[in-house]
Amino acid sequence: MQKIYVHPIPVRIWHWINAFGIVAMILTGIQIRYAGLIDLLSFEVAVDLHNWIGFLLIGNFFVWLLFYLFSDKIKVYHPELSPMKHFRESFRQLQYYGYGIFKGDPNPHHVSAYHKFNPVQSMTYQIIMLLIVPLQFYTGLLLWDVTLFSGGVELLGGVRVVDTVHVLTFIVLTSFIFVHVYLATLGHTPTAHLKAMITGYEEIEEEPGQTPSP
Amino acid sequence: MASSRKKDSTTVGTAVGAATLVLFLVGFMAAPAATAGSLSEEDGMCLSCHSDEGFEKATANGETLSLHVRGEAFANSVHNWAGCTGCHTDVELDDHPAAEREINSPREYAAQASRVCSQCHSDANLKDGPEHHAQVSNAGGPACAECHKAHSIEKMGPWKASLEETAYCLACHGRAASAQLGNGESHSLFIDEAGLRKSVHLDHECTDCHTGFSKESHEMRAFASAREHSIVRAEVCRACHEDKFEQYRGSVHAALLDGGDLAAPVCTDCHGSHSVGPKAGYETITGLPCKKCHETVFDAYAASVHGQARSKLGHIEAPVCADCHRAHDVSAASVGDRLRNACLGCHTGAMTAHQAWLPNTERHLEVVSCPACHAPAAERRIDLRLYDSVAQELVSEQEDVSPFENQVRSVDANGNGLDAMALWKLLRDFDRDGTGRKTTLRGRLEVRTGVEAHRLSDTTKAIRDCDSCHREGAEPFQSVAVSIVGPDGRPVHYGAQKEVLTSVISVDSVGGFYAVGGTRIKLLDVLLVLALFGGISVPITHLTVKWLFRKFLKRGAREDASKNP
Repeated sequence: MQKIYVHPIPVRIWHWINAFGIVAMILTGIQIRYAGLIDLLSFEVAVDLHNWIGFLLIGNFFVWLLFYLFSDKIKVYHPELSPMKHFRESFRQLQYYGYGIFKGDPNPHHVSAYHKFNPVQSMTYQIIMLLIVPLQFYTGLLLWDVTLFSGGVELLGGVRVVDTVHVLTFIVLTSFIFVHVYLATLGHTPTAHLKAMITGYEEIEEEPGQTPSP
Repeated sequence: MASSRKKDSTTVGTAVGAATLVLFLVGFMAAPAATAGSLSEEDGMCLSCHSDEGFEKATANGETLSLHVRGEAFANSVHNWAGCTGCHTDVELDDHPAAEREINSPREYAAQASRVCSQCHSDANLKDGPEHHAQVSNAGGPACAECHKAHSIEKMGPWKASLEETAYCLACHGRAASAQLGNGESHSLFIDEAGLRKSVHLDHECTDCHTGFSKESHEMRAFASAREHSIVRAEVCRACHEDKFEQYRGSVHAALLDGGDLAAPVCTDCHGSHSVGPKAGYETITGLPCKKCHETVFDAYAASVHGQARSKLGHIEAPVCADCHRAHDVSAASVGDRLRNACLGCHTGAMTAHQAWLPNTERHLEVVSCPACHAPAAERRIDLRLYDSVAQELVSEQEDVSPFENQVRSVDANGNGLDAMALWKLLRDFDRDGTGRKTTLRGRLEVRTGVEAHRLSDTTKAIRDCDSCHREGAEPFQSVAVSIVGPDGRPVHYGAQKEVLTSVISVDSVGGFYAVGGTRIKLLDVLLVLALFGGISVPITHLTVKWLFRKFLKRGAREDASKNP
């Protein structure tokens, strides 16, 4: 069993703050949206928590962004510039998740320090981190003070439009969380990837038994 | 002067004399007429009895009619040439005094005696002049003697010249008099001199306001109704109070008047016409003129925290009507920010106090009317107001296009209230008049009636529970209206179905109004449920398939082990 250092400490700090923060945001968001149906927290407390955690996550987002912008680890997100190659590799990865994994085929993706994401992960994480999450932060910020950011609110078509976008991205992130957590259990053991995100070291099985990363 | 006239008015002659008096009278009938300052012998004979100051007669109503005549005054009057019997034609010289003559009252007698004046001063002649027009036209007006005295009648010219303008006017208008208007109404011409003297206009002469009138000129005017008279006369105030008049012209009151509502107030309805009091008088609970028309609103105000602070606690800084609504440029309460600014103008710490606990404070205070929380017992609703995002102002109904209600009815044929699709169509069609307008809807949470808006309570009782609005089925969102500013400045409301606040179609049409929780879009709830279902079912399905294929996994692992021992 080989160990590769794939998760530097800034990434791990960002990840776990993000993980707990997003779960808290989902729960407080549900409480805010469904006050009356769910009354675990008062509306006022839920809004306060949602706002504070939101700002924490925005700050945390910049930890992630600045780390990757100013380190060579950004290579893990380098996009595959050949569409044919990207789609071919993505198809192989999806074929593995959808079929090969059930009959014990090896994971087509081989983890290394600068190549820790498979093509599907790389594309998904970039969509999440560079589109969905910023959109969620931006709309959340607008909703936090609709007067201060009235220009942005009006630009999007009004507070109802902003909230609709905020809820749609919340729905996307919520469904993503389930899949993300499940895929994290598909290491060579159910907790292998979880441990890696704590220690930084991913255990790599000898060929041909490669496993997917979350 | 008036009192002396009244005294003289009752000093008329019905002589009670002795039988010998008849003989004297017969003798004096042939005597020469009197000259100014002197009396004829015949008149002297009458005065032999009537000059007695205590000479009087009890009338049927229990009053006393004085029979005393001041000889000197009569001698100097303009009518001394006529002598006593020139006017007292009913006196029978051979039967005077008529012992059986019954007189009901001094006033009735004065009226009867004054009829003789018409022998020379005919009604037709008198009616031509405004001074006597009302008296002649209306039964029950003052008898001639009440103004001109009975026996000491003076020349009008010197008397007129001796009076100030106002005193001259009050000579007639200080007495009960009325004029009949075109619609048959009786319009009082009486001016309360005491009220006039107490008014802020006491230094003015009548003719300062009643321009065109003077001691020499009194136009005869005709009005269709008392209301028309008030409206026309209100223009008079403009001469001095141009600024206030201009403010009034921009008010909802003036707009109502212009729209044909004759009940809308003009200057005199609030200030009175002749007894205009000082400004401070209108700023008291008892002096507020608004309550004359807005009685139910006033009652709500009087019972409110503001009214109670004024009347019970004596806090003169507590607002009265004009402090919030203004005195002259009164606008529709639910249009614009004026009332909100009025609240925040006094409650300067309100913004800070709300910021301590209320997220999005400024937007809340912009979208939620103050009474919506501070009149906690009130029923509330959402008013979706048509807003021109290009001109950045509320849309007003145009006179040259179809009335708003017609436009709404064209998309709500059943009259059930606008649904989300109808509302969307309404907005789509609304800007097709080529004005370049971009109409959107701006929502506002407000109380349903003006009366409720005044039932403001103590701050401790104000609604501070977020759940009052931010939960499904919250009360304010059960009633929805769409409104436009009407021609008179007041909003014109049309009912909408409450579903317009929760429909996905409204994301565009009601984009400017949203209350988290209370007006959430139902379709997003469905999507969330589907997403949760998908998020959970993907792992479960994957795990299930893995479990079903576990034999292949084990076989594959064994093959791998055999290949890589």
